[in-house]
Amino acid sequence: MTGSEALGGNTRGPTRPRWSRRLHVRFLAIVSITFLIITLPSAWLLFSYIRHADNASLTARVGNLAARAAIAIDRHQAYAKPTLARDLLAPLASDRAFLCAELRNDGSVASAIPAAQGCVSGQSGHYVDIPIDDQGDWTLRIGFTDKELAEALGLEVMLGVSGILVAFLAAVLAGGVSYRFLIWRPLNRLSDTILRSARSGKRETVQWGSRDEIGLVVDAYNSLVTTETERERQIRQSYQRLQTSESALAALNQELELRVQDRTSELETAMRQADLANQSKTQFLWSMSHELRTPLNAIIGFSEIMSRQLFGKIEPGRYKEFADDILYSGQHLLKLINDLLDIARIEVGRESLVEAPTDIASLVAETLRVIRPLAEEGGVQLDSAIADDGLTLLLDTTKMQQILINLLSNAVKNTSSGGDVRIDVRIDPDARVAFRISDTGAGIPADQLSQVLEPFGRAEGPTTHIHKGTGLGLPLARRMTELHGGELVLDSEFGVGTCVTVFLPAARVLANSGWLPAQPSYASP
Amino acid sequence: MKSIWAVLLFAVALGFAAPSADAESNLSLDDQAALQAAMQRHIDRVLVDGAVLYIDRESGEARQLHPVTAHPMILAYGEHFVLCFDFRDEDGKNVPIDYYMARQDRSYVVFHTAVADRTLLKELMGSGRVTRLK
Repeated sequence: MTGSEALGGNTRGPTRPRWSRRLHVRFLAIVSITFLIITLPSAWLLFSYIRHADNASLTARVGNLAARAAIAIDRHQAYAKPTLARDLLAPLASDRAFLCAELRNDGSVASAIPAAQGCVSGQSGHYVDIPIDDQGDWTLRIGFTDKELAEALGLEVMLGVSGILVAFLAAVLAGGVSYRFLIWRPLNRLSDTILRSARSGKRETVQWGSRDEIGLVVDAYNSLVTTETERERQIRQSYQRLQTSESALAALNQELELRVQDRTSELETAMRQADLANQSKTQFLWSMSHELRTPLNAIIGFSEIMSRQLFGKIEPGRYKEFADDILYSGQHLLKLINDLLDIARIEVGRESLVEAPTDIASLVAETLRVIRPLAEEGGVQLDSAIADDGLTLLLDTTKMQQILINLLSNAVKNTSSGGDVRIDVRIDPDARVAFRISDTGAGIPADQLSQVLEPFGRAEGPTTHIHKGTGLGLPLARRMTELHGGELVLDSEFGVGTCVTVFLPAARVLANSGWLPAQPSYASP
Repeated sequence: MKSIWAVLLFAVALGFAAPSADAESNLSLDDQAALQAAMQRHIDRVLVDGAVLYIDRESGEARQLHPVTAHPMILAYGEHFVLCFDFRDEDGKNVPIDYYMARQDRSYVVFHTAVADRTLLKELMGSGRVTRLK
C-alpha cells in the first residue's frame, strides 16, 4: 500500500499494511518463486539425466568388460583352468563398480573373484549372467554396484543445491537491494512528501533525478502538484474577486436599503400629507356643504312658496316659471350636497349605522312605492321577486333604503321606455343576502365599470344627456354597503343591460323562514 | 493474488513431476549390462580377422569395420531394444552399427543389424516406436 492509498483523507498517516501485503514482500516472493520455478525443475532434470547417463555408462562398461572376459575364457578354453580363468577375470576388478565374478558350470563355481568367495549370497548389487559357450553349459556371473555412482550423484546434488541456494540468496539479495534503491526510496520519498502536504496543506514537489518509470511517476506527481497549485491560486483569486463582489454587493444592498428606507419614509410622509389633505378636503367639503345647505333651504323654501303661489298668483306667469326653475335647481343642489355630506361623513369616519331589525319585504315594497312614479313617468316596467315575509335583517333601514333608491332610480333613469327594471332578494350559497337590481337599459361599457363607482364618474351613454344625475348615487350606495360590511358588485353588458348586486353578510340575518338559498344566476364576487 | 500463488505452485509441481517421470527406468541395470554383454558377444562371433565385414553398396566391395567402443545409450523398440556400437573403417572413419535385439530366455539376441544406416532408426524414432529407455 502506498502512502497516498493509505491516506484516504486521513492526515494522521498511513497504517502499516500486513506483512503479506507489503510491496517488498510481494516483490521478493515473486522473485523467489520465479527463481525456484526455473532452477529447481532444471536441476532436478539435470540430476536425473546425469543419473541416467551414469547408469548407462556403468552398464555399458560392465557389460562390455564382462563380455570380453567371457570371450577370452572361451577363446582360451579356460573352463578347466581356474588359474587362467582368474587371470582372465582379474581385469574386471580394476573397475570400482565390480563386486564379484564367478565362472559357473551347471550351477557349480569353477573359478571366482575374489577367490574362494565369489559372489556372496545376499550381497547388495546387480548381477548379470553371460553365456560363454555355444551349448550354454558355462556361464559367467558378474556382480557390480552403482554405489559409487550414487555417492557421486549425492555429491553432485549437494553441490548443485548449494549452488542453487547461493544463487537464490544472491537473487533475493539483488532483488531486495534493487527494490530498495529503485522502488522503495523514491516511493517512500513520494509518500513522505504527500503526507507532509496533507498535514501542512501546502503542496510540495518531490526531487528525484531518475529518468526511469518511477521518475516518470514522480514527474507526473510534480506536474499534478503544479497544476493543482496553479488551480488553487486561480480559485483563491476568484474567491477574492467573489469576496470583493460580495462586499460591493453588500454595500450596494445597504445603499439600496437606505434608499428604500428613505423612499418609504418619503412615501409615508407623502401618504400622511395626502391623508391629511384628503381629510382637510373632506372636512372642508363637509363644512362647505353644511354651510351651503342652510341658505339653500331658504332658497328652496321661498321658491316653493312662490311656485305654489301660496300668497297669491304671480304675475306675469313667467315669474312662476322662474320660481319653478329655482325650486328644481335648489332641490337638485340640495340632493347633491346631501350626497356629498354623506360621502364625506363616511370617509372621515363620522358616519355610523343606526341598526334595527328590518323586514326586507316591507323595505323593498316601500322603496318600490317611492320609485314607481319615476318608472311610470319613464314608461319603465318595475318588477320584483321578494318573498312577502320571513327575512329580517339587522340594518340601518334608512341607509339601506337609500341604497336601494339610488340603485333603482339609476336603473329606471338608464332604461328606455318599454324596458324592465327588476329587484330580487335572495340568499346566495354562501348564506349572504343578495339584493339584485337589474335593468334592460343601455348598459355600461366594460372600460367604464370601475369609473362609475367613483364620485362624479358618470358613464358616457345614449341616456346620459337625458338623465343627468349627480354622479354620486352609485358611489354612495357602494360606501353605505361597505359600511354594512357588505359588498357591491357591478356587472353590465353594453347594449343589453346592467345588474348591480348588493351582498350583505350572513351575520346580519336575524330571521329566515322559508327562504332557501337560490342558485346564482348573476354576478357573484 | 491467491490464484497467482496457485498457478506458481502448480508450475513448481509440474517442473518436479516431468523429469522424475522421465527418469523412471523399466529396465534394470542387470538387464542393461546383459544387453551390452550380448551385443559384445554377438560382435565377437561375427568378427573376421578382428573386423566386421560388410558390403559397401556404392563400391560393391566387402569392407572391414573394426570395433572401437560401445554406446552406453539403450533405446526401447516395443518389447525389443536398440543398441549402437562404434566401428572404424580402413580410412579411420567412424561407422556406427545399430543392433536390434530381442530377449530370448534369460539372454538377448540380435535380430537385425543396420550398418552405417541411421535412416531406419530415425524413421522409427520419428514415428515414436523407438524411444529412450524410461
